[in-house]
Amino acid sequence: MTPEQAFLTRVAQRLGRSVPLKEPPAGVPSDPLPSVGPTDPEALAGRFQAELEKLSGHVTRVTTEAAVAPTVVRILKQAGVRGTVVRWQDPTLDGLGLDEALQAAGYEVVPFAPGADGGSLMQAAARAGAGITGCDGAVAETGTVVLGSSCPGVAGAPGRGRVVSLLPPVHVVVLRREQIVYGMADLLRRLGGGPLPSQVIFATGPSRSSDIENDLSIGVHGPGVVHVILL
Amino acid sequence: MKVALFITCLADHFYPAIGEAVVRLLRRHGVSVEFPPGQTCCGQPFWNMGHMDEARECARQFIRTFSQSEWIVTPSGSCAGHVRYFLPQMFPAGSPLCREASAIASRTFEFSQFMVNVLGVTDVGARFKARAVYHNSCHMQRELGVVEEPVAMLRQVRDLELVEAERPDLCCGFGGGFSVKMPEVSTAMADEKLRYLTATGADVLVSCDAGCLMHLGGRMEKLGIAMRPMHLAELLWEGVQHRGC
Amino acid sequence: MAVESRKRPSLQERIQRALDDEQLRGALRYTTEKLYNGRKAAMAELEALAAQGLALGSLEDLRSRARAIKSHTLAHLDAYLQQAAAQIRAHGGTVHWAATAADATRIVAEICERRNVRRVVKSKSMATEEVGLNAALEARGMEVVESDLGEYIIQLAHETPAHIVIPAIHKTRAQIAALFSQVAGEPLPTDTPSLTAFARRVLREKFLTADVGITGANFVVAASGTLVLVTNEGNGRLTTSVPPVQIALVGIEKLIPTLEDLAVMLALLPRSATGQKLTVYVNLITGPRRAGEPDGPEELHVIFLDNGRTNLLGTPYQEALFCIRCGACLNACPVYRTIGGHGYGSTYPGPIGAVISPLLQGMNRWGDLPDACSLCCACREVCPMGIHLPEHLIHLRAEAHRQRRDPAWLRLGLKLLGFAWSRPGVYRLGSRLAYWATRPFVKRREDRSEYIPSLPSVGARWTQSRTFPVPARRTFHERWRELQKEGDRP
Repeated sequence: MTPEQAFLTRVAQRLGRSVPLKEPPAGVPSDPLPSVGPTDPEALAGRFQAELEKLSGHVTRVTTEAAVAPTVVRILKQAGVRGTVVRWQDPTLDGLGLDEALQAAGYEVVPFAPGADGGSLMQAAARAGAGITGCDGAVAETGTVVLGSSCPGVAGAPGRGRVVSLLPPVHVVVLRREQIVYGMADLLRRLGGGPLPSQVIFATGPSRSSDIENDLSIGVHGPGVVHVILL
Repeated sequence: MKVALFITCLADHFYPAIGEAVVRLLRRHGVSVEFPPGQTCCGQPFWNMGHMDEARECARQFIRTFSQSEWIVTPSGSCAGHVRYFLPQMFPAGSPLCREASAIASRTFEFSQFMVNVLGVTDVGARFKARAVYHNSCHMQRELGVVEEPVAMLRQVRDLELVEAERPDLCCGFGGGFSVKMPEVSTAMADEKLRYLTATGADVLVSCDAGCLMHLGGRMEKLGIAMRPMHLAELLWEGVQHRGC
Repeated sequence: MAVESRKRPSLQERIQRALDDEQLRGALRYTTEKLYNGRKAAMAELEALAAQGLALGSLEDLRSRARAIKSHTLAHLDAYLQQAAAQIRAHGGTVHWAATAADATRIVAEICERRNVRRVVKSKSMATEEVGLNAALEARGMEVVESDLGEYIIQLAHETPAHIVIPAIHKTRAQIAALFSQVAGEPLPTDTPSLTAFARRVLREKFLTADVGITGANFVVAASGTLVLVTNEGNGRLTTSVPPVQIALVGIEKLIPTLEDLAVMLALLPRSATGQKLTVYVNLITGPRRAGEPDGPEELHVIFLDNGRTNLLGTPYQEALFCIRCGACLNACPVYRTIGGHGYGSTYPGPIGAVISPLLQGMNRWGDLPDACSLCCACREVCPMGIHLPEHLIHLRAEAHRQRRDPAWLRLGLKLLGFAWSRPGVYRLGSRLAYWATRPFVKRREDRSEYIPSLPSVGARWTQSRTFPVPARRTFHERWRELQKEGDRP
């Protein structure tokens, strides 16, 4: 008997079966989750912004794609970011003119291109002052953005770089209003419908810890500044 | 209306005056009180200490004693909680004893719960000049779900100033057998509780469980704290007689 | 079971040590109070949202859904384990099976040795604490770095976590600053931002040079083979993004069937644990890095851990495997608040720890933990999974009693009392006996009322800290006849 067989047999026997059950039963353990909350895009955007701001995340609203790049530059300047900026190379950021605007403002831009050397990208992210990403959705109920390591639902989609939104102290996210859903259940239902990327992060505000005398501190391991540009 | 009094072992042995107060207050509101003589203990102390056989023996005696009683009233939130929550669980599901236990459980009430929810009485006409703080017993608030009823009765007492302590839900550390099995932790818990209770400046500590009062009262006496521990029924009965300090 | 195998202080000694430490007790009170209130506020907010149709459900709705999910999963655990394993493999991960703690540490060590690992970085995992992983890896010459801020503090202090969510709950900032200053080789300021910044700097370096990252998992979604990590600091993300290998040690009770079930769990766990609506990061890991991805681990190993969990399956204690390790029962428990995690001494302290420690690791080691409970039931009230913790503790006490582990004075005393109290005649005779037996110890107060300041023998267990009431000269039973007559009067 392999360790796996022995392990599963032990579980089965404790449950009163002599051989392990092969397939889980069809049907769900509890009733389907209700759909709750508003569906109006503006209501969702308002709620998202309010929730994220409660957690000391920042939201800047822009109305045109052309306004994104200058807004990013302004945010980085205000946050005191200098030197290198890393970003996803991804359709969610294509056509926004980010590289041109950032380079014009004096930043070195390192895109996480699929197939590029992982080691040098990691080094760039480690020294970068900011990381710029798109996102795969957002949850209004909690002020959460969804960051897939590749595009969720698309099998074989190219990767984007997990560390772009993780290693730099400042994270700027570009979010489109129509990407916002109300609750986590809506989001998970959508994600469960297609293949999942190797990693999906639900990020809700800046990194925090309360491990020192339950005193809140921001930016422990992840970014301490999170800025969402809501398009 | 006829009520059977379940006195509980603690009140029977140490605080019979609580029972007298309950009987007189019930009578004052037109209730006829009987006292089934075969009663001993509901089995809670044994059950909680893991002595299931002894607990069931006592419970059987309890069921025998009260099987004919229409209403059962007891001056203890903890014992009422045990009867309501645990008595049916003490016997195999579906067994005749379990069914009888369930029936008895639904007819059992803690004193203030009965006064307020069954009789609809919050004002017994008492006057008691004091500053009082009310202590929730754990089983009364969590097994029985009775929190507001005793407070509603205390609010109606003339000249009584009712104050609330910090963390009114926190356990006092009595815990029955726990208080002698782990006396050091039990006492440390009492000390924290007493810090919150004394901070209110109350001169009377009111509760619906003699166990908590015995524990906190005994600790207060050791520490020289002058707050007087009183069962709700005692305070109300003293108040009715206008003997309140 | 490797962790605390050396001769250890008794429960009594551990408790006394905690009670004597005023600083510890202050820290415990302060932090548990804050977490308790945080949870309460979050649940009140949830109720308000649910009433407006803006949440998945009320606490009670979510609790019953969560119970249904876990109950169903455990009842078909063999099938869900196979489904999860098949999915993890389909996504390029490797699955291992650890029946015991020794299996778990051996499997991890073998993976590490095959890759010539020198430095291991960990995110917070109670399962790795349970199996004593750090010591096992260090014994093989590896450097193990805890990256959760609280765990890092505990590791520097050479201690074990005192709380399942807040490991360094008992440490003051002065103590933390002293520990960090030793690492820095210079005195550091004691303010939180400085201390946090220092830890970030030191640990960032460790992350970038680590050969393997070790995590636990809060949930495993069987349908997709997805590991779910619920964190706040971001160290869990670093552990699963930067090192070339990820190993996850996962208790078998962590399985849930689908992603939709995760929505229910995520509505309960952060609120119960820290009072947050959602933690800063929820990390869903489905296999290692894929072709075309620039980062993420090349290898992902998932180790399913039994280590006693199957002891609970098919028993009335199965429900204890519903636990999602939120720590709410610890924060609500007046005993935990008084003695802290090290008072219990087990990896899992507090009410849930007092239930599962004897079941996972045996009554011999932890049979006395269920006694450390006043049965106040605050734990049951806050448990997001509705686990009947007080009932389980009572039944474990019964188990200890059946195994004759309780002290003789108590066993015999209760037996005698039980005999007497199930027989009305003997009960009433006993009342007389109690009266006369205590007379020699009765003293009078100034107001002439009677009390007992001290009792000998086991009675001293009460009177060492409390006076004892005097048994009434006439019990209520004996007073009833007169009361009855009083009632008969018009």
